[in-house]
Amino acid sequence: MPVAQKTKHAITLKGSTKTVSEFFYYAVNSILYQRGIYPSESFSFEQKYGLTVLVTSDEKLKAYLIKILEQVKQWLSDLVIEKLVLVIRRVSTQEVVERWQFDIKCDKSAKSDEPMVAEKDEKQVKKDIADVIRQIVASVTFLPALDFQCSFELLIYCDKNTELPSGEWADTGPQLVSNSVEVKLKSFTTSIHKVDSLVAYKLNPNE
Amino acid sequence: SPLLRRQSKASQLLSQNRSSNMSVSLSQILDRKMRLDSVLPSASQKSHRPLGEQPARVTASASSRSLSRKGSCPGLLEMSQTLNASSRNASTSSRAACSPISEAAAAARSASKSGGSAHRRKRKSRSASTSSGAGRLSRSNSLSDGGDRFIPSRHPDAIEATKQALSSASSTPDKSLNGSLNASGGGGNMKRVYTQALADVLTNGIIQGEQGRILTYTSGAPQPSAPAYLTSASTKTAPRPRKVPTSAERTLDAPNLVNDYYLNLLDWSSENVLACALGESVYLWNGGDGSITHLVDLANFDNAHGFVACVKWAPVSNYLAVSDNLGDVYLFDVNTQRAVRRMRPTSDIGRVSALSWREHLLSSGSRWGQLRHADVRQSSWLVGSAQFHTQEVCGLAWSPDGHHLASGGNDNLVAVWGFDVAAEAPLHVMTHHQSAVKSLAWCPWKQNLLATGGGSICKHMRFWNARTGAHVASVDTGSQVSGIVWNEEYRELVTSHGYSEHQLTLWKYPELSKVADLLGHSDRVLCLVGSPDGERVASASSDETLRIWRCFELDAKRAAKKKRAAAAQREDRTYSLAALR
Repeated sequence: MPVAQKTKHAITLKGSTKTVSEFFYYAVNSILYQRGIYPSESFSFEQKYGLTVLVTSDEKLKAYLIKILEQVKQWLSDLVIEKLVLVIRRVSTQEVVERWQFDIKCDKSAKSDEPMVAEKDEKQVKKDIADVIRQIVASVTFLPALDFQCSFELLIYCDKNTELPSGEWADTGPQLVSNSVEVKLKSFTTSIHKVDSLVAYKLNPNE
Repeated sequence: SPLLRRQSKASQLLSQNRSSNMSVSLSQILDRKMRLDSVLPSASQKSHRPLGEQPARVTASASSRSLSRKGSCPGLLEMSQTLNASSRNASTSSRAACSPISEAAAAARSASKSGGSAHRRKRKSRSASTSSGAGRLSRSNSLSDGGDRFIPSRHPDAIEATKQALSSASSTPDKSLNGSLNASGGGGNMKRVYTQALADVLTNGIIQGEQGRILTYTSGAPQPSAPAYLTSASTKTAPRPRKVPTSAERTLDAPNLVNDYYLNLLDWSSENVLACALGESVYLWNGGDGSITHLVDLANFDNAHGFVACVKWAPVSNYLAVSDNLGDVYLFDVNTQRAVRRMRPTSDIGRVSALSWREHLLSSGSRWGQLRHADVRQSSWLVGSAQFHTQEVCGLAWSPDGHHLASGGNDNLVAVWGFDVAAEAPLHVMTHHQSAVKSLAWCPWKQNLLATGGGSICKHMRFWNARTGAHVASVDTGSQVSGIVWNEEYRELVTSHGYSEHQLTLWKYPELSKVADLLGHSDRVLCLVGSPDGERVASASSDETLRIWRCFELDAKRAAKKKRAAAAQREDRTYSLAALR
């Protein structure tokens, strides 16, 4: 059977880590903007993935996100991270109204600094990421409006034996949404990390 | 198809056993917050395939694989419906979920829900066959990977690991995953292990049998400085020195107005004739005497079941360009009420929903994102075409000086093209809008200033310098912007909106402060067009009315000034004509 010559693209673990953690930064920012967790005035435009994405200009929030994502990056390159979850909670009742879950499947055979053969080139990966971000933006059409003050939390699912850095991280429960509706969004893969996205939300959070 | 028949029998089985034990366990199952698998609501696709068709697979063991919920529904029938989205549907749904969710998504979803209830009623009337249904049920379960329409996206490991974990924890055998969730039995220790296993299952945290841990950063996220949920619609109101009548001057009936956001069904000629497309006809309303003419009926052009997608008056105002859902563009002479041209596309471009004139050049934008430029004087009319937008082009406007063409599409992009119509690519592309850009308007007093309005997600009106592509200003209008009209006299803009107020809003430029809200429409405003004298705007809405608003009425002083200016212009013209002789 004649097989077409596939152009091989190389990707390193470091590069894949950077791509995935960047994606998380922009995805989390988009969600925070779209769901109104932070006032929309505190967001500014940035050109990324051929789209205009909104990122926060609130310094404290930015520092908070960067700190967490640094750790995520570390865990990504250690290939121990399994999920990143953004939990949106209603402040008055402390109940979870929305849960954005990003599943990460790592190719355990990847070694740092060694380029691996990738199925997709960088452009294709960027395009896939852009599709997911666009989907997050478009999800506003079906997600219920959150007319109340909300807070968010980032949960990381790791391997059982992951070392906890410094003491700033603690174990917690899964923080699931009760009576939820789930929508699966697109996934993308860098051949080392595969990220699936899912949003679980309550149909009537305002009740 | 035989599969469908099988499934319908299964649904009858369920409806019959509503009061039986089976239904009780079913409700128990669903009360447990099982979110094992995601359901893919393909909004736009499922509108013709309501959930009601999907049967319930009643056997407890089978439902472990099929369990998925589409929300918390109290009634049993609804729960049974939602139990099984078919795998076939799921694969198409995943494709649909990937396709951009259009303006119609919300409408389609509600349509599918109401369709579901209709189906429920239909099902009840069919006769049942129980045992054969049950037998076929188990068979259909085993075919769930290929035969059913829902593919739960689960780790294959997870199912095995779950069963393992539960069988080791549970002291009561022979209960499947679902039945055992009602874990009333078992001592404290068992229960703890049980809930732990349950938590693992729920979070899908089981990978290769190992339990992961869930971590969170101990210091919480910084609180937003201002309550974020307050709508950030512009509340700045300028001092109102002038009175704007907030109700319409005139309301015209517009039956059969096609309720499609992407069409441009209204245009006002310089001779004060308003053209409106209603279904497959175009009607002209004379602003001077109020007379109505039925100009076009597409049935006369072999398109009896089509509809008009766009109307646009030529600068020479006895010609009207009309485009329909098949992509044909007609040119009508309204004095003789006949079609003088019919420009048919050579390939299928979809409907042409946006037109714009530049002297003799008619530019059109179509469903699949193509832009075509037609010189209406030539027999081979196509002088340029470009494929840039990836989705429907719903807004098109040539600048008053004819140097730039702005196009807005359902792909959220605004493109600015140059004078050369043979160009393949735009000069500038602006990606700021977060939803379809239908409304585009050039500023009449400032060259190169373009205003664009976004759809229901975006809600922003943005201003651009078309020469450089730079973003000049923006304002959050609070609702989808379906039309923009500038007014030179008062240096204002009027925008038309949809949900929830269906209002027209007047803004002062460049302060972008709200001057007034014109209320009256009871459903979203689809099109907005300004009158030739600049004093009025006409809006068409899906409540099947056309309203004329006199929001830019010239007071006595301004009217006198305008008359003097017009007289002076006429004098100049006669002087220059005289000089030519």
